[in-house]
Amino acid sequence: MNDAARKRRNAREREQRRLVRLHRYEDAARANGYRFIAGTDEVGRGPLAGPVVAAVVVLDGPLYLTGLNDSKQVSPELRAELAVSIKARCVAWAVGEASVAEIDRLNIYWASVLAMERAIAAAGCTIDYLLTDAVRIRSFTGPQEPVIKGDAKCASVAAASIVAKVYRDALLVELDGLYPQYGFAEHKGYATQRHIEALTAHGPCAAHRRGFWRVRDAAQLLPGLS
Amino acid sequence: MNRARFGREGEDAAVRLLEDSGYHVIARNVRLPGGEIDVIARDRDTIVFVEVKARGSRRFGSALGAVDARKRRTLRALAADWLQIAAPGARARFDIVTIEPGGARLHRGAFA
Repeated sequence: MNDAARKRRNAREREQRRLVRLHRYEDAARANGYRFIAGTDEVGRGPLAGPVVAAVVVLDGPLYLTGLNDSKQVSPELRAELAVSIKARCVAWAVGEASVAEIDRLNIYWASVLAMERAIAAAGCTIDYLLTDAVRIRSFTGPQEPVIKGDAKCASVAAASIVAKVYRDALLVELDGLYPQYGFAEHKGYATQRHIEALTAHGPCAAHRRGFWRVRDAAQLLPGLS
Repeated sequence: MNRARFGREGEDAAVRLLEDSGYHVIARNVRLPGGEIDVIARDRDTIVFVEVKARGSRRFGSALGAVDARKRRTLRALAADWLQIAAPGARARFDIVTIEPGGARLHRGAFA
């Protein structure tokens, strides 16, 4: 066998081992007799604009999808493909949002928990065991396990992060149609150079999080527009 | 193709139609104590409960007609339960997506 072929085979085997490892929390829960195992995760804590979105993905078996990982580690093209495969293979999925007004009222942490609670509620009553990315969902009464860096360690949490990311990106593209001056379709609300410049030039819009200091600073530069 | 697979593919086609129509799908296959809701979407600030009816032929009547009074009553009850736990106070609507040999069609506000 030549070198290139061996490298490809090694890469494929490495990926298979990674995918098996990615199910260790789900496998452990299944070994304890739980059937419908769900992962939840949120995206959009960092951006200066737009809602925070959470998703929950319910699985009743392994989800061996090449490239499945934390949404931040996956290219937009692969993310879209993975989202389609995840939605086709899972038992149920749902997303939840917390609005900009709720982010400003509660703070971003509690708003993201609220979004996760909404996603879980929206999925109905099929969840036997819940895995999260280091948060405890108090409104969920069943067994749950917060996993530090869960989005990179649990297949179900990684899947949720991808579903949430694809949903939120679509929302921000829609928001770009409403407020074209900021470039939401491109940076999805994150604090890129272009976003900060637009924010300084035009002031914040209704979709901006006023509780974030960068948004407040921009508003203060343009008092008439705030 | 078996019946479950046929239903699932119909739902996938329905989801594509909803997304093309500007909806954001927020949940699939929501199992509640009294039954299952196929698709729940958001159309701007309205929650839309979508019933998907796929028909391979018109031999047994139209797909739209297959969502009868009893099915509607079940859906209304499921929707009320879902709204209470997931989105209290939200505005809601019922749409039907029919999938027949002629293609997929969205019936907005098919019943109340």
